[in-house]
Amino acid sequence: MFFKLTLLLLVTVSSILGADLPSEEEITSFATSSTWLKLYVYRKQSFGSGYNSKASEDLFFFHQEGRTDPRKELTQALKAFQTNTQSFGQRKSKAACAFPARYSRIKERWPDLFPDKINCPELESWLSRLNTSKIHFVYVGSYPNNPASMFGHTLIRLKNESKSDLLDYTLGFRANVDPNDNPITYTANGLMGGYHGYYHIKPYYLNLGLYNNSESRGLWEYELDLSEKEVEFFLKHVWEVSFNTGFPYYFMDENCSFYLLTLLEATRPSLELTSKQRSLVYPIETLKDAFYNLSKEKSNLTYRASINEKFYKKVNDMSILEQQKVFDFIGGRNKVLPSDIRV
Amino acid sequence: MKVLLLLATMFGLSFSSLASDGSSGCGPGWYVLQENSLVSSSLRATTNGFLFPVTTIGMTIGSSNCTRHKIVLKEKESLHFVSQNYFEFRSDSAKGRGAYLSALAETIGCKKSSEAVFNSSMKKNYKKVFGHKHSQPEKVLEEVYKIILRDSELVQSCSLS
Repeated sequence: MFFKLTLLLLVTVSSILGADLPSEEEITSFATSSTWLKLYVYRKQSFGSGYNSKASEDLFFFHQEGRTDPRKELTQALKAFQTNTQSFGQRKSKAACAFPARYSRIKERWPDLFPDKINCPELESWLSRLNTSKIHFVYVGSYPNNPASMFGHTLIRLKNESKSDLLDYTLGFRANVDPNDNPITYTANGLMGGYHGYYHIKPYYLNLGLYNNSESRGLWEYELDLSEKEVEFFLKHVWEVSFNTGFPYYFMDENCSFYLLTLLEATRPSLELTSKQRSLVYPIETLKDAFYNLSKEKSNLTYRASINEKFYKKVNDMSILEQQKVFDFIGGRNKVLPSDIRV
Repeated sequence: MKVLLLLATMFGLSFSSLASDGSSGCGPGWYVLQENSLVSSSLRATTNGFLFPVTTIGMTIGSSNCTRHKIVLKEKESLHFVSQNYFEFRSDSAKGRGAYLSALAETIGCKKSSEAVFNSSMKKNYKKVFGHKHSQPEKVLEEVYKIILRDSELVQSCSLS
């Protein structure tokens, strides 16, 4: 407590003095702030006072001890952003281009340390290709034919308002599963974190084709109440995380939903979506969390009915004569589920 | 511990169907899906990519690690769209309206103002475009281009990029 107070005092004093380079105290304070910790998905370790990030790749960190030491990581990041060498991250680019969200947080904190504009052509063209104006959280209902999907699934839709819905892109987090694994290995790995998950971006129509039409699952979409600046930050964060690391994947909790929420938490550090102790993270629960925290009005919800629902709705709206024609066409009434036909 | 065991058994059962099927819940991998193991799901047999397994055409895949950014190259957008949404697009064309028809027009660069003309021309020429039972997407797209080129308004509106 005393330590914290002293720290606070020191930070205040140094900011009043307006030191050019960040002081040790400033660095320590920022390194342990939720703004910084959430960019790396740092967690407090169960024993001791240390931190740990489960990111799968070492090159996700600037400092070799960055995984467990947010402060060393920040110090090294400050250095990296000052150098102009093209050697950072998987794509071997300038530090600010490889990790643009970190750069923007540091720049917000110490605006005078770095130039205003840094050219990142690859990032710029990626951003303009996606041209995202809104972020939607998408919940895919469970798949009646497969108990494995009983949790449902979650996605993030990157809404491009100048194009038709179908041409949007979506972001998902999925486990890389070895298809040769037998069910026991599969289950064990899934429960113990033996698989790694990665972020994927693909056209929205591929998801609609798969979930809505092939698997006949309904899709609920919530528009998240993020500012334009937050949307841009979100994308930069997606860029720096998705190209540089994966995370261990646990079916039960740290799953597809969990690692979409960590992106939102990094975007708005005041959000606490993943810190609750839960043994199971159901996509529907995470959706509620995200929705209550980030979606103001109910009107922001849209539902996309599955192909089956659409079909039965049409049939149910028909006269008996019309229905008979449909049944004749598809080869008999026994082709449809009796429970789905009201008449 | 008991709970864990119970869960493990439960998952073992449910995910075993998944390991071979690759159906998409929260847990399973895209890898299985990529392999097109579409056997066990009868519904899946209608997946468009199954008939035209060209999911990779024109992707700018920024792959590092295992990350896949499947962002379609601008000049391949129409072809990729037709091959991945073949049935939806065909059905919209027959009706002369629908989201898939509008989206395709957009990938060809047609302006919103000519949408009605485009839609009715597609409906009128449905048989020509989808003449064969399973026309190749390239062929379908070629016919769509021909429709545009023959129409004085559409040829002005669409950029045919």
